[in-house]
Amino acid sequence: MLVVMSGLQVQGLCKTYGSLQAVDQLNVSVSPGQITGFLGPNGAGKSTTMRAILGVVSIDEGTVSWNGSTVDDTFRSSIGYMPQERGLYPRMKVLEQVIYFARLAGLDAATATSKAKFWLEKVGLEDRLDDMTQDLSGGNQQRVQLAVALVHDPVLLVLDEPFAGLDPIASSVMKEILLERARAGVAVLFSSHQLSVVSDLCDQVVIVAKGSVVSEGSASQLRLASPTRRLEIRWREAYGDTWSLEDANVVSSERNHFIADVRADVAIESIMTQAARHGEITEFQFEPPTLESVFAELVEG
Amino acid sequence: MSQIALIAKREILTRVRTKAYIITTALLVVAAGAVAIFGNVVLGQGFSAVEKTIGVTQDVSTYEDLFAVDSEELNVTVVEVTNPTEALEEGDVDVVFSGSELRWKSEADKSLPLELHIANSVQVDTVTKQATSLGLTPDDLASLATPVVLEESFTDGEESGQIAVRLAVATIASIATFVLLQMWGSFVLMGVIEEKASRVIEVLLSQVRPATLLSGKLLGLGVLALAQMVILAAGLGGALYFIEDIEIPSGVWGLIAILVPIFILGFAFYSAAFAAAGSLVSRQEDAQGVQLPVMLPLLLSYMLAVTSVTDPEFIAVKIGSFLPFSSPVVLPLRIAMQKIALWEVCLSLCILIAAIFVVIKLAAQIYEGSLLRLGKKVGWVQAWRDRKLT
Repeated sequence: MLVVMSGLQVQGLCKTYGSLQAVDQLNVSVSPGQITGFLGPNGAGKSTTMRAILGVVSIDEGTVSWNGSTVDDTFRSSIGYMPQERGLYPRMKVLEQVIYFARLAGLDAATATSKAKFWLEKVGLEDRLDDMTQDLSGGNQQRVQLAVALVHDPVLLVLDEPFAGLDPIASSVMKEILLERARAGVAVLFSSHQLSVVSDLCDQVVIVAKGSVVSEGSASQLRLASPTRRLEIRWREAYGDTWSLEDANVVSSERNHFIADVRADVAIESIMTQAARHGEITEFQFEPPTLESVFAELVEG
Repeated sequence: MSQIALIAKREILTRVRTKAYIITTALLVVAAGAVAIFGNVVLGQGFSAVEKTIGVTQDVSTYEDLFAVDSEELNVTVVEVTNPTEALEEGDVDVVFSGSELRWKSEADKSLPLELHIANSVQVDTVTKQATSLGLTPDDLASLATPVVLEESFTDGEESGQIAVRLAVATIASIATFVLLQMWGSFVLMGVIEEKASRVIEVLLSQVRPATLLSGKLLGLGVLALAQMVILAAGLGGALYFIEDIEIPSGVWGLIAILVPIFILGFAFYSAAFAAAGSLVSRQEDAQGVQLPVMLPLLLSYMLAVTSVTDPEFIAVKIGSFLPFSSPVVLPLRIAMQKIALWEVCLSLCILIAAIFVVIKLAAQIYEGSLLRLGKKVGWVQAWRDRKLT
């Protein structure tokens, strides 16, 4: 049965640069209204994948489609893009610059002007419309960049490390805007090295390493899918020496506080029974690892 | 509005507002005006008489008979001076004659025609006196001493003086074409580098095909370059229009008319090459080195043109008027000097147009392949080899 997926579908994407296989059979999909976080170490192929979606680099193999039809130049004017290497014309006024990109994306002059003003106000630059872009601080130039990505009301946002280099205030403005766009039905794909941001914002996390997807799902799914669990026990009054547990990767062990990584399928009841013999338990945690640990496990393993 | 038009419009608006454009255009208007006025004055006055004054310390009337002349070339008056040095210093006279000596203010103020005139007159006077003593009548002498006047004519039907117009027009046309091609080529190069240096190129490429971006950029800058060339051609045409003493030689009006189309073709050829060069680097500092292979043929063509302006049948000039990289600069020279047949002009332009298609195609591929290679300079050979890799 053929199911036409809605939203963005990247399938079997391959891209080599000379002898370097940058992307190898990569699949990723983003549904409208969904925020997808793209995680991976440097050089994993995230930027290349994003560039391939925008047609900025050619694809060796694979397909990029939207609602089942191949993404072409006509559809690309419905994508908002923020490349990793930020770029604006330095000697162009802020408002003029945003209008220019809106018009390149196909908006007429009047719509382009009103949309540009709307988004520049939204990112907090309403006082800087007639300033030269090069006179703005780095953070404010990032805001202009975001306005450029949003000005033509794209149905898909592809943002390469949008949080890099943002101060906490700009960062929360960015988060707000992404959530608001997703609520409006926009499909959002962004890459980041800030895992906390990813686990806060994303409906779906895709982890890539060496050009392929190694794991995907919601942040909690990814954590639950991990083969290990973090075990932490505290006792009020412990007997005798430090406690110990077989088949455990001990992180820290004191007389009344024990932390270790154990396999996800261990018999918890038997551990509890053993631990109860050591003293009166005040705290017993058996939790999936943090997203950071999952990420490190997947990428290094 | 199409993307090409939007891109061209941005190039025009950004450039027109810069001081550099305003200043160069203003200079061109001034230069064109200067050519018009200066050309007219120089060419118009070259054939009116040179006016000179000879100072003598005694026997004014005798010397007046001897030296005074009012011909087409020379108009000489004789005045008496009491203090030769002062008269020379004051500029009242050009030379002081004292029977055997000519005294000038300085060597730089020496006038060769005047010196020849005086020497001749003295010689004639001496001959006359001796002839009279030998028994010849003044009439005999007059018939002996009548100078021979040789008429001149040219089988090509030109009149004397027309070659000066040809030389002036040929030189100005070649220089103007070179200067504008070189200047606007550099603007194209800098514009391409700016987009890479500021990293705006990737945002652009997410919405615009490289070929569209290149076309829009060349169109926009081309319109501005063309405007300047039209101003220059109009200035040159105006200068010729106001020359009254010399009939404008045939072919010169034709050159003025074809100068702008030749420039458009030259711009298409060179600007594409400059754009490809610019796409190889990501920093303004690397511009100098990377434009050398494009600049060099243009510069050599220019040097060939200006050094051979009086020798348009030089074999290198003939060849240069057909090679596409040199014909935009050399062809105007040969047309102005009328040492070219119509079929040669047509052939040269056809070669140039064919070459433009090739150059634009190659340049577009290098441009596309190099745009996203940021950082280190990309070599020409490597850019060509990797043109399909991005």
